[in-house]
Amino acid sequence: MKKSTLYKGFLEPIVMKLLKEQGRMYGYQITQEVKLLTKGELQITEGALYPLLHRLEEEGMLDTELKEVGNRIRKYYSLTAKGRKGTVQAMEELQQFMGSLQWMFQPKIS
Amino acid sequence: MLTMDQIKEIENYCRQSGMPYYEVQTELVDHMVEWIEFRQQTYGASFNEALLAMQAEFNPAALKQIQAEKKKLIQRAYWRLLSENWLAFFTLPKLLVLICLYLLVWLPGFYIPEKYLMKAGIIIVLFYGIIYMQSNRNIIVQNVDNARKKLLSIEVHNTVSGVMFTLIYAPYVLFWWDESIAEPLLSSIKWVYPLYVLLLVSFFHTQVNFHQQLRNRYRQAF
Repeated sequence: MKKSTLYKGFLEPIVMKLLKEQGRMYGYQITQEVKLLTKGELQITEGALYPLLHRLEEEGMLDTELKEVGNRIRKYYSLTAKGRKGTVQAMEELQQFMGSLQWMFQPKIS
Repeated sequence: MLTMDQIKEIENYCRQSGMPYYEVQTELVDHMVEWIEFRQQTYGASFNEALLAMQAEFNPAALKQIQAEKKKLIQRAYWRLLSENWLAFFTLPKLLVLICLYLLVWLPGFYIPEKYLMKAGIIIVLFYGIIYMQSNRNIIVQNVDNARKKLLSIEVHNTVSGVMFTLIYAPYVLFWWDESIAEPLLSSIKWVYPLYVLLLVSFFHTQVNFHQQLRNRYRQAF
């Protein structure tokens, strides 16, 4: 199985964690940061990133802001109060999931 | 940094790829510009070379998919907010006023033929429609301005408005077109029609709050 397939299921918590750390980010910046964070293992396509950002915005997790940058308009995303709570929850769930995975695979590996 | 003409070329590519809507196009154009600038700075590519590579990366199918997903989300948000506002309209004092209005529309049903009752209902709806449009002309003017920008959200709004307009006038058009078609409805019309008129009137009233909330929550759309 390709590593990128494994990462895809975690795209939402990864994006939310990034937004929590960086404050506000725009689409291209997120793709580059994710690439950096995963050492190039996960390269998010626009077809996966933007529907996710739009869904989180619709769910009230993200706030948006438009800024004019060099002849064009840029849309920044940041976490709302609901989004910050959601990120903490998502991180806890992720920790639990990782714990379960470790428990499942550790005996076989050793 | 890309020039205005080069950015226009990218916008044209988006439009030709079937992604003409402002809300989706603005952020995707920014993404594409960053993508091209990165290739120019890192690999020394010319604009045309980077543009060709960008077109292979951002194919029309992927762009249409992003737009389709966004449309679904806007539709869902639109209907949810509309129904929440519509339900919130029915508070106790308003319900009492509505019951009085219902009686006002219902009572004449015993003294005048049903087809005139229907015409009276249409006049009430038109009357409320005109008052609504007059008192909220700022929202309407803003919608007309936004329509020039080709907003996806305005398209969703127009579709819903179209459905409501059809619902309002469908019975009347049916009656006007051929009375015999509406004949089976006549016996129940004096019971159902006042309710129908009241639902429409409440719909008009709901629109003001609904549009304000919609604009506050989705500042880039609407």
